Amino acid sequence: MKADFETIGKRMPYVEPKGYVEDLVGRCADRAIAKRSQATARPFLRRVGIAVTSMAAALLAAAIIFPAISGPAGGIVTAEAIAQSSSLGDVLSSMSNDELAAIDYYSFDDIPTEYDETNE
Amino acid sequence: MKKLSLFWRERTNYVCHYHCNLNFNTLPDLTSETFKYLTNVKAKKLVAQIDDEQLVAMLRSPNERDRGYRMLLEKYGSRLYWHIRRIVVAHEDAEDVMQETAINILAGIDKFEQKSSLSTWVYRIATNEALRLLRRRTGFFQSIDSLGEVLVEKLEDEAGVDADAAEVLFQKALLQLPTQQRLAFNLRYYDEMPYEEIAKVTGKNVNTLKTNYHFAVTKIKNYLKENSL
Repeated sequence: MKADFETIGKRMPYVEPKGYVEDLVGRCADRAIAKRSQATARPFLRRVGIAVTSMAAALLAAAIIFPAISGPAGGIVTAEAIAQSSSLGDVLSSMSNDELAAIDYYSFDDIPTEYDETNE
Repeated sequence: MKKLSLFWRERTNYVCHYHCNLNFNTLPDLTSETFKYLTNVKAKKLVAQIDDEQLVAMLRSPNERDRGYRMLLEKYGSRLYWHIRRIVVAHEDAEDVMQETAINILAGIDKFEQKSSLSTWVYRIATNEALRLLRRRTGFFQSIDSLGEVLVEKLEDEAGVDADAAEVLFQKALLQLPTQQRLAFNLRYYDEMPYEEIAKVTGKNVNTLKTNYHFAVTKIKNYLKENSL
């Protein structure tokens, strides 16, 4: 068989599935219109999502950073605080377990009260 | 049962309007099911004869947008499907591309500035989507022109055993061409599009397209001569 432009014309060696072109409008149009309806709802949901995520991130950051700045529970016990306190019991009860353990380990004579060049 | 009675009411209403030759704008709003079941060839031809300007006006109107969109697909759907299929060959791929094209047409209607005709615009969207699919099938450093053999295999699967050998050979000759030459040939030969319109679809120069078409025809003739049955 001679194969050239004139004998073949515009014929294709394959055909579309039966009924596909007739269904084309309904199938494509329905899906496209449904997708467009979903797309119009997205911007509002996206804004809400961004706002909620930002607030959660801010709360989480505050929960992590704020305790690190303020230090251990009850604050740092300083010598001035001890001096100003009326009762030793009040001072001891405000100290953390680590601080109390440090007092047990070391005698007051070992704890330097001021910087001494001869200690180096 | 309720859907069926609605269909028959709509169909009767539609046929009455058509045969009474009323103004097209008075046609009732038809559901997709009615379009689906319409077997009246005259009615379909009526849709095909809709003016593009009338379609654009419907698409820009919020109340008539969906109806205008269905009519646009009714008018151009078949042509777009075959244009896409000549590029990607496989029906499943053509179906995916057609769906993406339909979505992009609806999404881009507001941005359509009427610098080109409606048909040129929808063809451009379809062409870009088809080429995008082919690019997804290639490797990072590969050109879509390297898909020739893959597309020939798909052609042989789609054509089947009973296909006309001459037609298969002709398509194989086409698939050997570089993509841009094949595109220019398809739009000129199958869709009978003027070069100026092809230039708007492909974004190429008119003289380049004429050269591409000339080279495509020469290569096809040589291929057919070398592989003649």
